Amino acid sequence: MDLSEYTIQGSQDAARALAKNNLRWIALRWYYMILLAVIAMTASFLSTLSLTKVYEYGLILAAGYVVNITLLLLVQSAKDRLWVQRFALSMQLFLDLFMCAVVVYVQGGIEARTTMLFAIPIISSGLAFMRKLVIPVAAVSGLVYIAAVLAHGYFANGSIDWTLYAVPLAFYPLVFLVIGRAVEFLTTLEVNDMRERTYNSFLSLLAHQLKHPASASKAIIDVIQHDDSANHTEQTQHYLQLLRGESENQIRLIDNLLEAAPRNKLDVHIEPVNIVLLLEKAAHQAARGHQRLGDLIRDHSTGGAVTVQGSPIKLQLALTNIFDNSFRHTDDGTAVSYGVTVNAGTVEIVVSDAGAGIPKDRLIALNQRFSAGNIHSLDARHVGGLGLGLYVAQQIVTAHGGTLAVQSKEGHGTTVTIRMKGTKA
Amino acid sequence: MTKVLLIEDFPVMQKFYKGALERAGYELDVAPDGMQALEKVATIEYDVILLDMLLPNLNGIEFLEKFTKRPAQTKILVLSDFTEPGRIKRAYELGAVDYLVKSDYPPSELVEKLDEVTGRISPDESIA
Repeated sequence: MDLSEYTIQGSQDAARALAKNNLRWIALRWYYMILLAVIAMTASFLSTLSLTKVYEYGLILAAGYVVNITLLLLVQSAKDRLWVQRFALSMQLFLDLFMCAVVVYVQGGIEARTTMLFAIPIISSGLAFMRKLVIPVAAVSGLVYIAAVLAHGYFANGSIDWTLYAVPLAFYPLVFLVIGRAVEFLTTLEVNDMRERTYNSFLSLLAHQLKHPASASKAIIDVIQHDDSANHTEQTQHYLQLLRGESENQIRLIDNLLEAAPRNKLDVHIEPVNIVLLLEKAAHQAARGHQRLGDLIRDHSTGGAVTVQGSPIKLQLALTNIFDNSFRHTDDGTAVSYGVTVNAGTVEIVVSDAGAGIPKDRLIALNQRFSAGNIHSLDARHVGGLGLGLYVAQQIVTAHGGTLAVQSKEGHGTTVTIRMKGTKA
Repeated sequence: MTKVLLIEDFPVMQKFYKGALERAGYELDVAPDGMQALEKVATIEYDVILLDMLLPNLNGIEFLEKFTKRPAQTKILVLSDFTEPGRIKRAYELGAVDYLVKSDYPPSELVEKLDEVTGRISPDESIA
């Protein structure tokens, strides 16, 4: 069995936000590199009238460019992958710290005369990137650094040569500012992740506990229904079927509420699924719930197994929602037909009814959570839903990389079409 | 006869699943928690294990983690109301052959599923 897990919209958004942040740091570093290299190359050439130092600076600049281009490609090529973006940010953090250590090691190596030329543009551009929370971090880091450099100078040489330390002193608070901000960003991400995990665990347990009694009720009804020795009357069977339908409705409502709960990240566990089998199950479950098995019509073109990659649990919920919606909005005796076709790697699932159709103004709101059209404009007893069914179905289908379209014309019925990748087995 | 171990702590579900599966011709054993289940699988080779996730002492995932020396013929089917992807993925990683949502599998449908898993019938025939 091919097992994998992919995250959808929420984590992709987080990854893209981090990618944007990464690109900003890369751009900032690029700017510093050019600025520092040009100033250092010009200053060393003017002071020595020799190209030796210029070559050295050129080499350092080239090495920096290779690193930056590698990071840029990494960030750009995997904008949707959270772990790649985190890795890229961590690498930048590491490289900045490494660079910081190198300059500390050779401190004073840069000509003292360029102090002002270095310091002014660096500090002004650093101010432009400042954020409120990072200022204290940078200030403390900067002060610690200054104290360390001065202490090192004093104890190593017995005195402090200010011209020697001016550049690093001007430069390092800014490096710490950059690092401080990256750390803050990573910390925020971790906290959000932790909150998300706790929230999802709570939702999962809540759904489990809510479904537990309904599952037990359904099991008990099932046993009574299949007890051959009981010899139930037709009326008792009818009532049992009604009870079973209500249990299933309750379970589906809990599932829908769980699916519709606001969250940043929606995981879908995927495996090969025979969508024809799932469609049959969903169709029969919804039809049984509405006592309308006789209204189900299976399209003749549907046959054999059609495999899609997805979560059978979630896809079944989506399909049952669609059928339930059709039965809910059509009168007894109105046919609800369904079928599956495969064309050039695209599976098309169609569920249609010849009911009264959905008015245009409501059709627009159908794929919205708790669609206002359902709750306010219609008789709640007739509709009997929360306006979650199609919204959840669409969320699930989209999470599987597919599309869900609803076409309806008043007086002519409604057709729901799902398209997703798949193959005929 | 096909030997089945049902690991389920809720007495109502134990009773109804047991009744339906035995009527369908399966030899059924029940363990009310993960620890007792581990004791049973240490001495008896089951063909199918039906495993609940929320269990006292040792939960479903912990049972799968500890039950490493499995006979080749033993198929583990999870039967739970939990539907979170992380748990499903972990169960598969630990060797479960299928993850069934309890509310989708009342006793009669569980019998059909077991018939399919043990090869009594083909999947297409199991459609209601």
